[in-house]
Amino acid sequence: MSLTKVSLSNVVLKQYRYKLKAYTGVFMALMVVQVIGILLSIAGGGSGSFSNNVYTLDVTVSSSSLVIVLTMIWAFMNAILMTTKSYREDDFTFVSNRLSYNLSNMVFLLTACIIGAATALLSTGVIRILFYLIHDVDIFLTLTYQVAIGDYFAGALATLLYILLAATAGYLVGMMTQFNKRLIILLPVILVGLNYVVQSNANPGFVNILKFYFMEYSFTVFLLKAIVTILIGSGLAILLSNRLEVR
Amino acid sequence: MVLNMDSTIPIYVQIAEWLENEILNGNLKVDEKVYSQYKLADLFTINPATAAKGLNLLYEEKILYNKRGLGKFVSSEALDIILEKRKNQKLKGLLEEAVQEAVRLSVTNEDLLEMLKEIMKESKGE
Amino acid sequence: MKVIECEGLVKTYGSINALDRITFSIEENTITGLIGRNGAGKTTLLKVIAGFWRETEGRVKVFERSPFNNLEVSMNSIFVDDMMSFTYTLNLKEVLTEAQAFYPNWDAKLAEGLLEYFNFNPRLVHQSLSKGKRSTFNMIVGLAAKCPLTIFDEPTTGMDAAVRKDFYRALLKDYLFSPRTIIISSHHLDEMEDILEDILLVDEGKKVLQLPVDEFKEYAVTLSGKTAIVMQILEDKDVIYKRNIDLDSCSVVVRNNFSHESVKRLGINVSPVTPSDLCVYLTNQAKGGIDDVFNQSKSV
Repeated sequence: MSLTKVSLSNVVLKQYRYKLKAYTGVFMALMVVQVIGILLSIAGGGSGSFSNNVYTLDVTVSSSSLVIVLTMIWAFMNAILMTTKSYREDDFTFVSNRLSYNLSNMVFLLTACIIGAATALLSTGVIRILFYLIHDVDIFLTLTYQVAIGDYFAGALATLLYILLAATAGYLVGMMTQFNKRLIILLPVILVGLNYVVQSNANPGFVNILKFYFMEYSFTVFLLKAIVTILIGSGLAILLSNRLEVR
Repeated sequence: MVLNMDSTIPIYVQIAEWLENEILNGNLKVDEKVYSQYKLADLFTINPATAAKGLNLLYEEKILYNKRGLGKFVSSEALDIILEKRKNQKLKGLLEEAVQEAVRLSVTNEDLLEMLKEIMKESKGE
Repeated sequence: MKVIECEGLVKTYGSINALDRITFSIEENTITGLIGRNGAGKTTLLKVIAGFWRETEGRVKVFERSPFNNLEVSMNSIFVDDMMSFTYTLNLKEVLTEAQAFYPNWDAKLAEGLLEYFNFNPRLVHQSLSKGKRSTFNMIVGLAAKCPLTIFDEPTTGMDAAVRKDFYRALLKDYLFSPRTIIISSHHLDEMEDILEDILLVDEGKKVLQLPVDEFKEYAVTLSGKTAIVMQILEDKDVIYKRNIDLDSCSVVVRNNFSHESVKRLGINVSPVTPSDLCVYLTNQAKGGIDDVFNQSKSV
């Protein structure tokens, strides 16, 4: 029987297609998470009240921030899940090597994150409508019409990158714990410990990391930071798993 | 026919014997093509290499001959060779066992010969 | 052509050598039975060959390539065992369709035919099957993939006798139809020895013996008779295993490399040793038999 020649991209594509069919649970979870996010957004919502002697003004602000945050958590958890043994074994039942396994996982996660970001952004509209129906609203103000189309896309891209950052973090953490089970305990200890050590008045430690990504005002710089982080994280995960023994 | 898988006789020898029987009882005639190793493997659920070994055994004894690329065929002297072989080996072996048993039971040579004549007479009478 | 070549192959876990400098090769288009006791290193060996596990030392070549992390080896081989994992989101039929996408030689007709023959409900998921059914399904995937290297690690786990018989027959028929290199590890050597071409016997991570089945069958004989006489003739023989029946008579397994006639004349019975018994004897030497455990505890 003659050997079949293979190309990496061909196998990655096959694995990606397989994952789209097999990992339907990922999208079910996304739906559940975002519905919860929407409901919480309606129930909560930042509100304030202004009043003078003549009348009182109640202001309630609705946004899809909560849905986006929950979607990030979803991306983080799912990325971890995809590095677990049972998911990996499904892959290695058929044709795979570690690189094709990682690449197909990443393409799949990218797909899932794009869908997640899109639905999260669309949830803004849903929240507004539901908000209008449920709360007693006299005047409905919305900012969107003032936002230039370019800015809107920038916002969408930023949302996607945040979700992708969460997924990358999850994937890397997941892969590290796969490589050494002790890291499940060690990793949080190290993170918190490091945070404690470097913490000072001038340098508030852990908060800095969050600031690095979330408080960036220049969009281009943020774009660069996020993309470089995602590439480094993915590269590390691939390097780590290249020595991993399977089945 | 089913092979006796638990027998002390190796499978490839059993295959050879089965083919010999096919020749003896006329199912396989002179210059007729015998089953390939793959056909035999399928017939008896055995590895084709084992079947090939059985065929080779018969080829070495000149019961079969080779036609390049066509397979193995029954040679013209096949019948004689098989008969001669069976006489020399199987019959001799059986007689040897009988003699050994006779020695163990302290049966004399005369008594043994007498028994043999008796048995021959009986089987002829039938 | 040699499909598998191992030279001084070592696989270590902590301080244990699961494979201890094993050297052997397997020819193309043969069926090899990998035999050994529990913990002999069979599964480890097969997983290194399949490229799942990385060798610690030595050389391993599959299709002249190093198998670990090799996509070409993965594409051209399939590893079937009872731990085979299929996603619970796809049913059996869908799993077969997915497998078809991965394996270029996939035989969909064979897969469907076997699925029907073994009475599978194609809408079930793999996890809901019984142990034996799961093994049967895995076997179907392994056969239908028609990979140039097909590895079965204990494929018959949980199968009943009838299914096992069908499996061996299916394997042989499929092999005759599309010859390829097949390795089966199993405890049921006696059931499958007829379809094998070679036997590879391993023990404690080492190769004990690798022979064609026919030669394996003739490798050793049992001598039994009066203890005094048997002991006398043992001098120039390679003893494999001694089994005393009692003081008067005994039986000893020896290498079959002498003329039987002279021994028979001494009133010693010469009988063949089945391959599965021989495997037990060859891997049993150091510790004696199970009887020794009882003899010891009695004498204490």
